[in-house]
Amino acid sequence: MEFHVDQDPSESERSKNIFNSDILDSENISKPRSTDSDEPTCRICRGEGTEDEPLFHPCKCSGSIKHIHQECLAEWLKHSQKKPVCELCHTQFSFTKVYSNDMPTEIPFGIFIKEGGIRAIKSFFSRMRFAAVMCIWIFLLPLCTRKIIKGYFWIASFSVESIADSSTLVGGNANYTSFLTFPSFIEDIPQGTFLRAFIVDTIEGQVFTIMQMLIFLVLFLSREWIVHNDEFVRELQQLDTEEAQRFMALNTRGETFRAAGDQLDRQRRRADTIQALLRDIEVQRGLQQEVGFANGNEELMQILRRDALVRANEHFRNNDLPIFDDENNTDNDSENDAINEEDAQEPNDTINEDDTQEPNDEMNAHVPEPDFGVDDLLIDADQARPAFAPNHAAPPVAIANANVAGAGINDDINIDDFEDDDGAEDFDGVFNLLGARGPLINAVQSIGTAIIVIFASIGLLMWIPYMIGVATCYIITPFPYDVYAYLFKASLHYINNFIDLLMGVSYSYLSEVLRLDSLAQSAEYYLKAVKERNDSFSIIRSIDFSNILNHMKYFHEPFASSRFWSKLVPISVGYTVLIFALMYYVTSSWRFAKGKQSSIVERYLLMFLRQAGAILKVVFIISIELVFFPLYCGILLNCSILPLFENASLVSRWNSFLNQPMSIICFHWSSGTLYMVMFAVFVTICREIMRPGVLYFVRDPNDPNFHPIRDILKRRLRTQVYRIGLSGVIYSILICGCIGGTTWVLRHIINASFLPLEVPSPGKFSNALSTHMLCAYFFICVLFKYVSPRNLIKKIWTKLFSRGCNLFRLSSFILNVNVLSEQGTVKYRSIRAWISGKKPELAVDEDSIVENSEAYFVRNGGFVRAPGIDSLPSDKGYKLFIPVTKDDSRLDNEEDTENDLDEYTIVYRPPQFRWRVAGFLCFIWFFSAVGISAITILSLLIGRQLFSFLFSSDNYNDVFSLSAGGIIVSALIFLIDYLEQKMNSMVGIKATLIDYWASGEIKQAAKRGVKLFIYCVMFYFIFPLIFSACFDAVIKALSVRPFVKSLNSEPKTDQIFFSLIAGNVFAKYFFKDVLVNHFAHSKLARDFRALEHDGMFEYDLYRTTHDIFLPIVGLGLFILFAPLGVTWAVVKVFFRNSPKEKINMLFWYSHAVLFAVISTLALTHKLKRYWRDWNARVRDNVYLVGEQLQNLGE
Amino acid sequence: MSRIRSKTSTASRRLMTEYRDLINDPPEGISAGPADEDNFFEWECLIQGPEGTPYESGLFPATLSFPEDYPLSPPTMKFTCKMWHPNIYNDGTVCISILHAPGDDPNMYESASERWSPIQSVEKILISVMSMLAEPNDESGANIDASKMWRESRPEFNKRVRQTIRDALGV
Repeated sequence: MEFHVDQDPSESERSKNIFNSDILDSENISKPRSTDSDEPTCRICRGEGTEDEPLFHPCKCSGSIKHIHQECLAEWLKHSQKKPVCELCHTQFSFTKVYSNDMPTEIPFGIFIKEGGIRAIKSFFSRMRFAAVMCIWIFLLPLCTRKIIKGYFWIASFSVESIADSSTLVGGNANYTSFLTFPSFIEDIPQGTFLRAFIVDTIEGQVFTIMQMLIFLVLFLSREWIVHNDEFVRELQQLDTEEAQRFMALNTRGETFRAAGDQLDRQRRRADTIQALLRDIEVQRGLQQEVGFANGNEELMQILRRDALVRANEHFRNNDLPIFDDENNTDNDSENDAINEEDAQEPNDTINEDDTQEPNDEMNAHVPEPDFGVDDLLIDADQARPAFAPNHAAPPVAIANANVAGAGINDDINIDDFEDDDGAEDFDGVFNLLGARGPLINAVQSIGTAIIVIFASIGLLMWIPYMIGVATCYIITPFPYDVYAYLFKASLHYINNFIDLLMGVSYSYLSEVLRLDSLAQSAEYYLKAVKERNDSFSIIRSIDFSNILNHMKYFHEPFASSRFWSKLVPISVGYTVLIFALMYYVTSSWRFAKGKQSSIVERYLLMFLRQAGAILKVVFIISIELVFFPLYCGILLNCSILPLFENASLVSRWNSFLNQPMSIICFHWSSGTLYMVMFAVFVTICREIMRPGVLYFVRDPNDPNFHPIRDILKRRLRTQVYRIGLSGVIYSILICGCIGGTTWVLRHIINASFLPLEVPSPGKFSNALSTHMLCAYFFICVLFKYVSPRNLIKKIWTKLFSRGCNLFRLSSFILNVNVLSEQGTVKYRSIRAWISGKKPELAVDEDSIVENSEAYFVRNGGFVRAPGIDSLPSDKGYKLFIPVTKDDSRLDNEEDTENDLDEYTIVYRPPQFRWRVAGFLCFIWFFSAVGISAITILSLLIGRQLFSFLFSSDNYNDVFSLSAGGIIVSALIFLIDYLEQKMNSMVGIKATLIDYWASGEIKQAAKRGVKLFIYCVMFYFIFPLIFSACFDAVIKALSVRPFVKSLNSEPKTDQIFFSLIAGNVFAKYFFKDVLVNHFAHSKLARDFRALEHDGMFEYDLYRTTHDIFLPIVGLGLFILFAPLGVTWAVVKVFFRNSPKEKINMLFWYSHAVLFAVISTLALTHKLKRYWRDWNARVRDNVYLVGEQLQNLGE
Repeated sequence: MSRIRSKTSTASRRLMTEYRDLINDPPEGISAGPADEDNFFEWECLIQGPEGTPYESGLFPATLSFPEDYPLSPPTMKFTCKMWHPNIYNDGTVCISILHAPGDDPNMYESASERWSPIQSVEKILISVMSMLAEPNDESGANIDASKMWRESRPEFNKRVRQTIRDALGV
């Protein structure tokens, strides 16, 4: 192809940038544009409108994109699968329906019935199919899973038997117990029936399936994290390269030579092409110079450049050289991938450097510098180099991404199919995949795939580890599982007994020494407990031993009982063995590969194993940090509050765990998590109070350089476990020392009269708890909206800290506040001076002691460099706390080195620093313990008083009283804080009071107060009451207790209380959901938004009363009393002489009648609309011939 | 005009119209046209480096390949010379929002309004590419090394670009 340059002088201005191809004839070019720009054209096909295909202007767009053909638009909409909206001006396209001419005005009844019938049948079938398919997925597949598992374990038991050469075959279903606890209606179905087996198996299968999916999800997510970690990917690549080298080293020489020869050939061929290319470039360069390239004629130069480029380009393409074509290059690379180390290291080198390199340095891992002369002349040489030189990170990521996509398909068929589903709704895709819609073969296919996947995954992930575990257990330990359980129980018992005995003995000793009656009581209690337990345990022991002896006979069937745990133990053992074996394989130098092909396979396997190892590591660490650690904390917490309860001991807790393992685990986990969150908040507050850098040893979660996943991947497992263990120890000390110590002191030393706490039995507890939670929720919501407890807590802590620091002379170190008087001690010359507490004069400059006064100041301690930032990288061995002078010159006579801190603060460190810090911590602990327990006890007592006053029963529930009291006490504290702030801000209150009055601020404040009061009364008291009363009136009238009767018969405080709570829920639902979502355009909704906007202090009282308060109250009262009034009138007119019961009945059901009337009206309205829609749909189905695009504004 | 229009005929008719318009009223610094008179779906184009940028003195050839259902689907653009630019892949493929249909953005950075729709045209694509040369989009990097260099050491980047242009011209 050739391009000629248009050099017509009349067009020269325009042709400056054009090259024209020959295919355009000159008429076409010279045709002025103005002729066709007048005619409107379609913005999609650029064609004009015709009679058959007129142009429309359906949206606000104007100018050249104003018009459009309907067909083009339809095609675009179909293609883009978007709503019919203009992508530019977002106007919705509107179409008018065109019906056939013979449409009657009323649809004939026959057609109507026919259409309805067809539709009903269709929908019936599609629904049936949906139900069937869902049934398969939800019930049959889990059942199948369960059966598969059972089958696997049946094989396992059989083979275990055969290994053990035992005569009895265990595995009958007769005494089969599920690992789940079922609700009573399932438990009532007798054992051994088909129904029970079916239900139990299905539910178990569902649990298994969900667990399986969760595990897959976790693995998949952690894999996502890992492969997005550049460093890990790079490390993996490096390992792979090393692996390749190792293979190379092992490989025979002959093969190497053959490969080298191959490559030599290839390189020769490539060298030829490169030379040809170079010649070409030379020729072009000559050409350009001939024409006078550099003489400054810009236009000509550009034309020439263009010409040269195009020609060069053309030439390259014809010769099919790999210069501009990267794919070509990579293809060549991949051929000698197995031998070339460089390719693994630089996967994206655009020009193959080793082509220029001599083949005899084949064995070298190091890349020699390529022949520079040739390389430099190549057009893309310099581009190629930076592509691999400075930055390796990018291409591996891309590769990894590709891997992820692949893995996604392998791991989870769902993802694969979602992505195939191009642009359709998500749910449609899911349903298609599940087979509820679309072709039936899909359903069969995906169900089949699912079964195969389940079969394979259970076999691989459960059965094989189980078999290995069983084998290992059999080899290692010949005892049944129950023996270990028994040993565990027994050891727990003995430990408990030992502790109790120790406590009892030491308490009785202490009580004699200290003469404390409470301690004597406790001692008695403990000793009694030991005795009782021993009595009961001896019974258990005798039974258990006989059992155990029975079990001992089955030496060869370690896991005969089909309990869940007995499967879990061997599976985890199997996994451990597998993991260690694979770890050994990865780390050792043994490799199975001998040939080239198998070495590639092995390298892939190794990559996979390493990745799997990394995933395992991440999952392991994260599960420890997020699951086991909180659980541990929760257990410790529970143990440390044991002294607060009557008859609570480790054994009782263990027994309740055995009764309800799942809920107890959940409870412990959530309380532990809560504790950890609280602790983290506390540490954050401490960080804010203290100088940055004090907590350099605690990781700051807000640190931008903190990447948990990268940390987990980078650090060694042992160090990480060690660190977690260390923090576990710290947490244990904190929990046991701070909380346990406090509770212990309260119970046994102070012997507080309010202990032990009264906690209701579990059944009663949960019922009452929900109500209680609801109650607390509202109060806490309101409370947190207007006060920030965090600020108050921080304020208190700041005060405590500054006091403590002052006391221990740590202000400079901890708060970075230099207090001169802390930097030394005061010495007195006489006792008189000491008694009078004479203040010495503080010398500003150092070392000058004012000797002549009676009290003088002696400086001691010194200055150090302390870390100045919290985010100190822990892996660098920094030298901390270098002693310096006040002016930062080092006292240790050493030079600043690499290992010194980059950012430090010079702080004062008093003598006996460690003791001071310990003392400071004790100080903080003591005051916080006293403070927190005082507040807790106060709230508890207040709550108890409140509840006994309200409900006049002695049988109080301490959970309730604690939280109720807690709310009151915290409200009081906040009030005090608020008042204090106000008092501080109003200094010189008398003078300002007059000013306030004059400026009308007090009036304003009073107004605001009144508004707030009205708002709260309305929204939290009157509206809820009205709502719940209406609800009661309607719903209770329908049920057994009519509203009127309930009002008359049982006016109790708790009823009002409950209706308040329920009404609050209704009111919240009404205002936040119904009004906002369903009646967003009503006047009430608008008024309510205005009220929300103005806030509860500033709203327009008159308008709000007029628009919101009165209407709602009026409506509520109308609903409540209008039926009663009407009934009264009716009774007066018609039933004047009826018996009293009948009249009462009329009153009772009046609200129900009203409700029935209203709902009938609403239903009729709905039905009418449905009928209209249905009519329109039938009309469309039968008579619609097309749609006509509508122009905008027509 | 016949009522039956195949996708290809729509596409070639539209391409013809666009070509005519481009010839009649060519935008500054851009020229484009079919490479072969038999095949209207492969275009060659040349883009002048925008002034005031390191690409200033360069002239960059590229190919535009149109799909059969053009203008419903966007064409792909590929520079046939070496380009050092954050939004151009090593093989010359241009990564710019106007060439992505809404919804299939690989980087999910671009808003839907800058995407391909039949309202766009070859002229707009080329103008966008030209402005992309002037102002690279840092968020959707196609060439990560170039992206990094552009972000971190602009002088080096500019030098590199100039060197590329010089090499391409053989100066």
